[in-house]
Amino acid sequence: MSDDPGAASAADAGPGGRAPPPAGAPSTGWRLTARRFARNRLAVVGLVVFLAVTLAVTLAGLSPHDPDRTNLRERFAPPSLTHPFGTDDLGRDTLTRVLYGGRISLLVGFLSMGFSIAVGTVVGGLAGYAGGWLDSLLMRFTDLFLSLPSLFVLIVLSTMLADSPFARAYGGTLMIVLIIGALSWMVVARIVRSSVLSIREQAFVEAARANGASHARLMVRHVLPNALGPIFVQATLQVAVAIIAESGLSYLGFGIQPPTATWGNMLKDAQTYLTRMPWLAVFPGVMIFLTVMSVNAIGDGLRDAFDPRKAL
Amino acid sequence: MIRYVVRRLLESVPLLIVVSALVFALLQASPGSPLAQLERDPTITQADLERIARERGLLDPAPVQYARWVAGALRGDFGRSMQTGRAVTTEILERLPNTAVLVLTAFVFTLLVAIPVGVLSAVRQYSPFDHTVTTLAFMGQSIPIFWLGLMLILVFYFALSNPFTGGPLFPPGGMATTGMEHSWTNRAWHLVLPVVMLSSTWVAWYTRFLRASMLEVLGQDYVRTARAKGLSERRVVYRHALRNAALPLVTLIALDLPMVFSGALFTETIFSWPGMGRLFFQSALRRDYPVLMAIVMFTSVLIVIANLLADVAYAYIDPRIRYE
Repeated sequence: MSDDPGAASAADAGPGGRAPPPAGAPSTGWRLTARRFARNRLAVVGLVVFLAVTLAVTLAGLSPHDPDRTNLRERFAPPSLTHPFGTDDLGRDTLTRVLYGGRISLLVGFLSMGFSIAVGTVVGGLAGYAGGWLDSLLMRFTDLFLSLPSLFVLIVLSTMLADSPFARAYGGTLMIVLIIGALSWMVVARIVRSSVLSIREQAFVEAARANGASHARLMVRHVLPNALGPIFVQATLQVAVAIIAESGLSYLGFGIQPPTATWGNMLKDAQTYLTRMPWLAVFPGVMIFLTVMSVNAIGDGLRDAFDPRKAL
Repeated sequence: MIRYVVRRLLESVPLLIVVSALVFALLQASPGSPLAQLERDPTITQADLERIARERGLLDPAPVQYARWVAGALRGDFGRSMQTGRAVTTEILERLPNTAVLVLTAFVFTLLVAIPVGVLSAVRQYSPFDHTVTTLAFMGQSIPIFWLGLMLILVFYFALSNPFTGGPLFPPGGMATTGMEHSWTNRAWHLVLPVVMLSSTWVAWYTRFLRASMLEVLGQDYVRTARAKGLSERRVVYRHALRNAALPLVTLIALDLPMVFSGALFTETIFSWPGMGRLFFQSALRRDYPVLMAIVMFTSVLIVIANLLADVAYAYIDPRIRYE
C-alpha cells in the first residue's frame, strides 16, 4: 500500500481524475485524518492506554515468575511487593498470568478482527461492486447470519467442536478465532457494501474504467482504497467485540481451556474464591475493561476523524 | 401498508427455512446419539436399539428427518431433552416466565433511566452533567458484564451489609429465599442486582443513542419554529423534539425484544436465575443438543420477527417513511 492511497488513486484516474472526495468517505489523505484524530483527547488517551497494555503483555517474559508453575507454599497470597496482584489457589502469580493471558486475549482480538474484516470486505465489496443477483444473494446470506443468535451459536459451535483435534490446536485459540470471526463479519459486509455502492458511481472510477482498467484493478486500486476509512473504524471496533466475546466464552468455560491463561478463564477460576480472594477477580476484569474501553475510544476517534462533516 | 407487511412476511419464509436447515444440520452433526440414554441402559440390547431407532425414524434419510423435525417444530414439538428425557417444549415453557420477569424489569428500568438522562444530556450539551453522562455511558458500553456481575456480588453481597439486619445487603442469586417465594418484597429484593447488571449496558447504549438523536433533532427547523412561536422550553423539548428523537429508539427496542424470551445468559448464570439463558448454559455443559437447537431455532425466529416488527413499527409511527 502506498503512503497516500487517496492521492494515488486520484492521480491514476488520468485527465479529470481529481474528483471531489466522495461524500462520507475519508476526504484528503491520511495526514489530515491523523491530525483530526490527535485533536480528540479521549481517542489519544485510548491509544496511549492500548499501547501500554500491548507493551506490558509483550514484555510478559520479563516477569520473574512462571505463569503456569504452581507453588503450594504461596497459595492465596494477597497483593504484596513480590506478587503485586496476589497469587491464586495454586500459588501462581496473578500479575504474570494476567500478562500472559493478555497475549492470548489480544491475539484472539486481532486475528478474529482480521478474519471478519477479510470476509466482510470480500462479501460486501463483491455485493456492492457487482450488484444484481450476486448482490441479492450475498446480502440474503448476510441476513441469514444476522438472524442467528450469535452468543448461542458461539457456544453451540464450541461445544460441538470441543473434542475435535481442531479445538486442541494451539490450546483452542485457532478454533475460537475462527468461530468468533465467522459470526462477526456481517456488519463489516454491510458497511463495505454501502461505501462501495457510493464510490463506484464517482467520476474518478468512471474515468479509470474508460481508461480500460479491469474490474479487479478498479476494485483494488480505486474503489477499496476509498472505502478504507469505514473499514478501519469497523476493524477497531471488531477488536473490542472479539476480546469481549473471547473472554465471555472463556469465562463460561466454552473458550480457551486452562492451563492456558486468558482474562476470561482467569475470571472463571476466580469466581470460586470470589469472597476469599477478590483480587483474583478484580485484576483480569480490570484488564478486559481497560483494553476494550481504549479500543472503543480509538474506534470512536477514528470514526470522527474520518467523517468530513464532523467539525473537530 | 398491509401489502408491505405481507410481502415482508413472505420474504422471511425462505430465510427461516434456510436457518432451520442450518440448525438441523448442526444438530445432526453434533456428537452423541439421541438414544444415548437408552444406550447406557444395560437391559436394552443392540437389536432393541436398532428397532427403536427405526421406529423413531432415526435411520431415515436426512431430508425426511428434517421434514419431520420441521413438522414437529411447527407444532411446538422439539423432541426430548437428552438429559432429563422430558419434552424440550416443557423445559422451555417452565423457564420463560422467569426470564420474562427479569428482562422486562430490566427493560423498563433502562427506559426510565435512559430517556430522561439522554434528553437532559442533550439539552445541556457540554455541561458537567453531560460530560459525566457521556463518560459513564462510554464506560458502560465497554464493561464486560460478567465481570460487572461478579463485582456487584463482591460489593453488595460480600462487602456491604444491611444496617438493620446485619445480613448481606443483597442476595447473591436465586429468585427468592426458599420458603418465601410468595413474598413480593423478597422477590423484588432478589431482582435488584440482576436487573442492575443486565441494564448497565442497555442504559449506556440507549442513553448515548437518545442523546445523539436529540442533538440532531434540536437543530432542526421545526424546533426553531416551535421556540419562535413562544412555546415553553419544556413543551419544545418534550412535545416537539423528544417525539421525533425517540422514533429511531423504537427500532432499537424492537430489535432487543427477543431477549425477553431468549434470556440473559451471563446474568442468569451468575445470579442462578432459572431462566432461558441459564437453561441454555446448563444444556451446553451437558451437551443436551435437542434443547440447545430448540433454543437457537426459537431465538432465530424471534430475531426475524423482531426485524420485521422494527421496520413495520417505524413505518407506522413515522409518516415520512413510505413503503411501496
